Amino acid sequence: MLRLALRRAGLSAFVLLLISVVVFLGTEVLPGDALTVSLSAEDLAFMPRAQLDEMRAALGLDRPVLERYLEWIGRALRLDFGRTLVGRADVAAEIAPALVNSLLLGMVAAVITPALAILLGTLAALRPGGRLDGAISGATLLAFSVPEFVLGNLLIIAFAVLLPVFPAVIALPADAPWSQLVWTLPLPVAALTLGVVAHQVRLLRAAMIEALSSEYVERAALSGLSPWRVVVLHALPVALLPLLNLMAAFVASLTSGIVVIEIVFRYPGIGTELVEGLAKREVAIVQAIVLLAASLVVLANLLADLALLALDPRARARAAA
Amino acid sequence: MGWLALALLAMHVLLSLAGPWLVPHSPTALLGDVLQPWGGEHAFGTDLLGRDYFSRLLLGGRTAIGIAAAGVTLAIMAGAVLGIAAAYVGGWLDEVAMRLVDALTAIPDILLLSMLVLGFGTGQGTLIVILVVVYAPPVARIVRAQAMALAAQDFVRAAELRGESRLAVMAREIAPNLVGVLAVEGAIRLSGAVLRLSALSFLGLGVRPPTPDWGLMVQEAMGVVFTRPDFLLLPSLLLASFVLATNLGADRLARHFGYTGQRGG
Repeated sequence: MLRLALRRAGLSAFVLLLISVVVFLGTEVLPGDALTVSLSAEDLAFMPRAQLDEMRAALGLDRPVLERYLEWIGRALRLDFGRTLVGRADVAAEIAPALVNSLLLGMVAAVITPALAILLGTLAALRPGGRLDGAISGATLLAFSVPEFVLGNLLIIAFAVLLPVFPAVIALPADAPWSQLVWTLPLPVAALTLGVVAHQVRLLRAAMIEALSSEYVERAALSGLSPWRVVVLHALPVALLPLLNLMAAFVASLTSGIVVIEIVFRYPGIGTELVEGLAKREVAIVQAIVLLAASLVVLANLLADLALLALDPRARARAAA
Repeated sequence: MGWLALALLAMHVLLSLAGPWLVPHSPTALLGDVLQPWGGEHAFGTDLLGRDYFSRLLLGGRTAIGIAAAGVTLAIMAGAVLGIAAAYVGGWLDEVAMRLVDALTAIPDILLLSMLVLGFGTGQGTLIVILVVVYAPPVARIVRAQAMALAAQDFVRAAELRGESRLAVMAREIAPNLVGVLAVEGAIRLSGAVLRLSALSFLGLGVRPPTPDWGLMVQEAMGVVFTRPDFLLLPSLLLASFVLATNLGADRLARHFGYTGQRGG
């Protein structure tokens, strides 16, 4: 088990290394270099060659690619993501408060989403084809089809106009205290949850229907256990196991959703930082955020796989083979 | 539901292909007073710059749908080739390809898209290539798993014993059996790609003004949401109707081919 776990962790480290290469290539090397990415096309066309060379030298871009990559990744490992082009601000210090705010938003959604998915997926699976199943399946298909930025805006219209309980537009500074931020969370969390939950409900419903029709559930029911005990204690744990495989996809879609939702509600988080960084063409900020987000996905994937190895003997056998 | 999906899809295909000849006004011409109400010369009024809203609405999908259709088609082909080769050739090719797939799929798609847009720009051809980079890896992973199962079956073994080349086995024995999987994946990825491109435009990172685009139109509408909620609701409705129809189509294909597909990620 320990050997399997270590091998799995080593794989994650290697994937992280590859991700850093992809991020570095995608932003600094392939189209030109960090300077051509940072400047607009017009600036680039009108700037004298000597001035460009001078700026390249100042940024260290005249050095070989491999040398620059190694320096960048070496620093990133120590959470030093360099400085912004405009203002020379420390990128790590710039994005840290926003990152914390986004983690607050993401963690609340990450708790609510599976809970809601388990409830709805189980209810739908109890009587497949029944009225409740039809309603839940229809609602998930609809939630699937409405993009997050529309959901967010619909919530703003509904709650700011019809039922003005929650603040519709947040627009707090990134260093606003959590006591203030917490009250702004309900609408962004609701939009985020609705966007992501549909997928989980569908999967859980399918897994639950399969579990409920299995022989061990039939045996549990025949031995006289109450229907709720059968569903919650016998069928649910088995139906939840395959969902662990989708942990990485869940964290990834949550992260994508956070970026969009933060812009809708003007929530002071990492998505707002990213979009501002993209608009100002601050390569270092974009690199840092993409690298951190991907690391989170890889970590979630690793934890889910380790949990699966610990809980499911079949997964251990597959991994050892 | 099936007829509804088919009718919606037919409408979107028609608008995407023939839209410019069907609309009453140019979508980008400034036609006088801004924010005119519904009715009269302009069915849905005029937008913030005095452009005919109805024309912009009808043409707001074709850019994203066109780019997504081209990008996803190429991504499905690239993913199929990569996945089949990884599964059948195996060895170091499989190892390298799948670790690269792991790396690319670990970057949340909106972030990967926006990062590549920063580096490479938002020209239509560029966006198509970017979609291939984003969507070929997840397709390759699914194709690989399916191709592995196929490669272990007797008819593949028989072809090998007949002395067929590896290329022939992959192209003539394995690939034809993946048509269903690829069709379902294509439909799922198409709706995903249109959603993502619209989100990108909404964030100000995708389709550039003055091109009409539903994502951009929702973003523009946010400023006048309390006086003109229709500006927000109408493009949302059309975008959702396309995605819903494509998703229903994917479900139908999935039932037909007996492959449920994998969403998300």
